[in-house]
Amino acid sequence: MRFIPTKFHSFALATASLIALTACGGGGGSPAPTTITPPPPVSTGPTWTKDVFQAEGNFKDRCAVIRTGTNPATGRPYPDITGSVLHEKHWLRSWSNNTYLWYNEIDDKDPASIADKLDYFDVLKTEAVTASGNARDRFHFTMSTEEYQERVSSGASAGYGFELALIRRSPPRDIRIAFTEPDSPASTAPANLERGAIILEVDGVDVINASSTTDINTLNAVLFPESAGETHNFKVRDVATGAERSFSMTSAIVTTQPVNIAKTIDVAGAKVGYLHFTTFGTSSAEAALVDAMTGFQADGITELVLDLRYNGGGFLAIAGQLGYMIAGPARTNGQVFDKLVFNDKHPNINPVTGNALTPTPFYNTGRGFSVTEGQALPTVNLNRVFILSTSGTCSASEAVINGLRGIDVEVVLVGTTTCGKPYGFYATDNCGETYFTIQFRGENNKGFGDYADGFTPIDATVNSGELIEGCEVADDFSQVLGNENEGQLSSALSYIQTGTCPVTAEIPTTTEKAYQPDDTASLLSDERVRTLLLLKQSNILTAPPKTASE
Amino acid sequence: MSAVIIKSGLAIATALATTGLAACKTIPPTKGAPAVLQQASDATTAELTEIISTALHGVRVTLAPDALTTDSTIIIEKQNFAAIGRRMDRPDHFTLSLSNNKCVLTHEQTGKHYALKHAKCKAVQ
Repeated sequence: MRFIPTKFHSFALATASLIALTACGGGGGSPAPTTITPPPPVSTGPTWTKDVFQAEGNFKDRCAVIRTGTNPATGRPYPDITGSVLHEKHWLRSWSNNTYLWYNEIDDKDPASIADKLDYFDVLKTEAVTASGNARDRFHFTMSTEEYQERVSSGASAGYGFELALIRRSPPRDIRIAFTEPDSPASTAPANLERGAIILEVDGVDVINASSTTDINTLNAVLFPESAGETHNFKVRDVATGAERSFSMTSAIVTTQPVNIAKTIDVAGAKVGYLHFTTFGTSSAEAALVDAMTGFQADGITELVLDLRYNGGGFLAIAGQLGYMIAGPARTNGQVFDKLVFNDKHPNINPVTGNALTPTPFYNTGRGFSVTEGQALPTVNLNRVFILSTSGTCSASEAVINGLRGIDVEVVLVGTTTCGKPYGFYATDNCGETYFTIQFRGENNKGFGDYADGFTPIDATVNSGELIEGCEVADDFSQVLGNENEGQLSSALSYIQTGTCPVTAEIPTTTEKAYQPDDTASLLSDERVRTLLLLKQSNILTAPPKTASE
Repeated sequence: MSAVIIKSGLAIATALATTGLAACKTIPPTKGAPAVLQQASDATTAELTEIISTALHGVRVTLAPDALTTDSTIIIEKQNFAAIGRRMDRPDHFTLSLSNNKCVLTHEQTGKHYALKHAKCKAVQ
């Protein structure tokens, strides 16, 4: 996760072509980033006095290893100056004291007492737990700035094009296909995977029972490939036939389709829209939602079932747009979709941007992600929405639930408890490491944002989380998504007709939360995979903004 | 000694830049009619990747293999898992166009034009 000297060769090679391209491009290139290890500082460095904090600016960008060249994030030279690891740890301490949401719950430790800066960062958080016993802060992590700055074309990344449901990630594991992307290696021959298929073996390793470190490394390397062009062997059991089969599959660059299914269902004469929406986290989501809602508007739907069971979040601005497209202008005009609340040192001013705190509205026009800025959005103008959920329903997805409840739109939750992430942060670079520490929570139009244990249907067998109207229903892997017999969709359609939850004896199957600590035999014992899954559950605040107002 | 090395480096860079600029003065890339790639291949993906990476100050870029084959605009964003937190930036938009029978990629945020050397384009009807 840190700068590795061998990486600089590729940067150096990139520099030569960069100069030539710049010549034709009319500028824009810059010297390749390099690092310099400065001589040890003459002074002994900053000193620590318990509970006395200097301004973070006194330590910012004072690095043990300084970068030179152009910062891709800014187009300007890196700001690094000669410092030390101790300076970096003092910056972490002061920055956390200033901006961490629960800064007054950090046990102030001497930065000199913990050698590694990342180990020191690990202790700069609250140890409090929620009402259900979960750690209050499950979202504290770092990654290299180089990795953080990587860009992709809209939603494209290496993989097979399947979404996995990690029902149990430690032995005996239960890993199934949740859904596949169209025209991806997973959905085409020879794999032809369908929802519900259970993964039994990969590259000869028993997925269900393997426990050695070597085997777990293989499982993670195969199931979560780092690049395109990796060919691996799979053995699966199909849900429809119960038959086991084996095949090879090669990873590719797969483009996410944010709207996986949009269709109108006739239910006893009523037009019901069904929308399987998989992510707010890619720019194409804006246009995909507009297309889907335009179709629903034309169909004249009177009910909407929004399937967010695997939607980990993304751009909050797109979530605000979706809120408008569901509820319409009369209910949303002038209302707050989501309002940021920082710690009590910053009641009015955003401590990161210095701007006055202004809420995210229910946007009624395009924001320039993939829809022209200012273009009017469609709306189905409903006062009720059914949302299908699991623990994978996270962040911006939960903001839709909370935002709509804030303006008294009836939200009927059908499924299981959502992940519980009303928090967010600014990714902050210092000396080549990007830090993520919780800095704010989101509140709706009524000032509510206390759902750290998630939203739970009110009839749930285990009453944790914020209880709201709805029905507890298992994630049904026996049917494809969008099938009217699939458990959650079937229950929502039944509720539309009867006004009550259908009787079910089935105990809900819930996937494990992706960010909770695990034993060594868990797939999440691999830091790369843990971070990958954690970061999918993201809340991206604002987006294209010329209106960078929050 | 180090000063001498730096001067040499600068001299080489200057020569390269001068040569490149001289060539571009002959046919400066300008934005033309919206276009898409005639055919996508590993080579066209590699060329587009290099240009976009350069335009974005050298960040590592991953493109879909069918990028710019059906739409003349491509959106470049931080990868999904890395885009956590508040993004104050707008996703970068690049547009492909056909100008004087040349493929030109324009970075909309900066207005800079990049002539493609190998990829073939066709105007969008």
